Amino acid sequence: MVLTDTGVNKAAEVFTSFLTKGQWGTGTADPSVSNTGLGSAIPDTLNGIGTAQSGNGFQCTHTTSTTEGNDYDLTEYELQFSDGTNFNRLVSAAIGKTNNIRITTITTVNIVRV
Amino acid sequence: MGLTNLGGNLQQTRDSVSSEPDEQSVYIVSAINIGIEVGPTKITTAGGGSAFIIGHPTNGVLGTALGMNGKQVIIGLGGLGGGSAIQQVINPNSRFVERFNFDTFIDTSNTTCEYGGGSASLTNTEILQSEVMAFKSGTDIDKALFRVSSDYPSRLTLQLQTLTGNGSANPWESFTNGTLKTFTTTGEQMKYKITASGTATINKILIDYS
Repeated sequence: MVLTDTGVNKAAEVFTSFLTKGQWGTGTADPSVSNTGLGSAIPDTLNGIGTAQSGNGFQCTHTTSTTEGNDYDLTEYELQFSDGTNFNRLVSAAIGKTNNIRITTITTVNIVRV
Repeated sequence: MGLTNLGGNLQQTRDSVSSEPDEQSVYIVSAINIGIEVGPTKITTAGGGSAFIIGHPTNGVLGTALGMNGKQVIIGLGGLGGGSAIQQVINPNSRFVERFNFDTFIDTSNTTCEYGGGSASLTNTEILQSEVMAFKSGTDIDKALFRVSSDYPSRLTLQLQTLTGNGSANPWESFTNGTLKTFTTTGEQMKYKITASGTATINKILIDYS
């Protein structure tokens, strides 16, 4: 038996619709598989994401506008399912957010055979 | 055959039919494992430009050249005119994965081969080159393991390049497929370049780094 390319690609298409939100925070602890969300979320950066699927991959694009997250050092980011459940978490070097900067975050995810 | 015997045979047939064998169910159990592979996250900013921003470490210094768009800081210049700039590219567990479903990390100016739909196809002398595909500000990359899945890996020359935090490029360095190597010149950012010496198809690129 094989898992077909068509099946893998369809799985990617289906999974794409599950992730709907992204958010920035100020936590700095290293990411861990036991994380359940951001260390310290910035509420007004919680926005819907745009998604695009191609083959067995999809991308989630989140934008923080000039009016959101200002005066914070953005250091952590997550994607969320529609019910708010955390999907992933990354920690970056600090990005000082001001009212004349817009931040775009693009995450690539692949569905693969294992 | 007499009628009496015929009736007996019919009764025997009915008995056979009525005593059907036990129903049997056949279960086919199989397992399909599907994995979720989180790839790179690219963080870009737009704006900043050369506007004066009170307290900003770069754009808050008058008289010093180079705001966030690389130009002189000017009071009163606002808006998002600074263009888009890569701030960071974060790869889970410091592993970059390219599967050619998107061109987010393809340097379209320097790439001469065909790519997309899950693979890149190179012919002799063609180049596949990336944009910055690893970048954590303040953290130098000093070694990498470059792995390419291809039908003819021996026809591919692999190179990596580090860049400083502000984007100054260091020399390209050659890597051997599947062999960990330390950079001669380290940097916070990294790009890859693959040059073909014949026809080859690439399905996946993995670059681990630290």
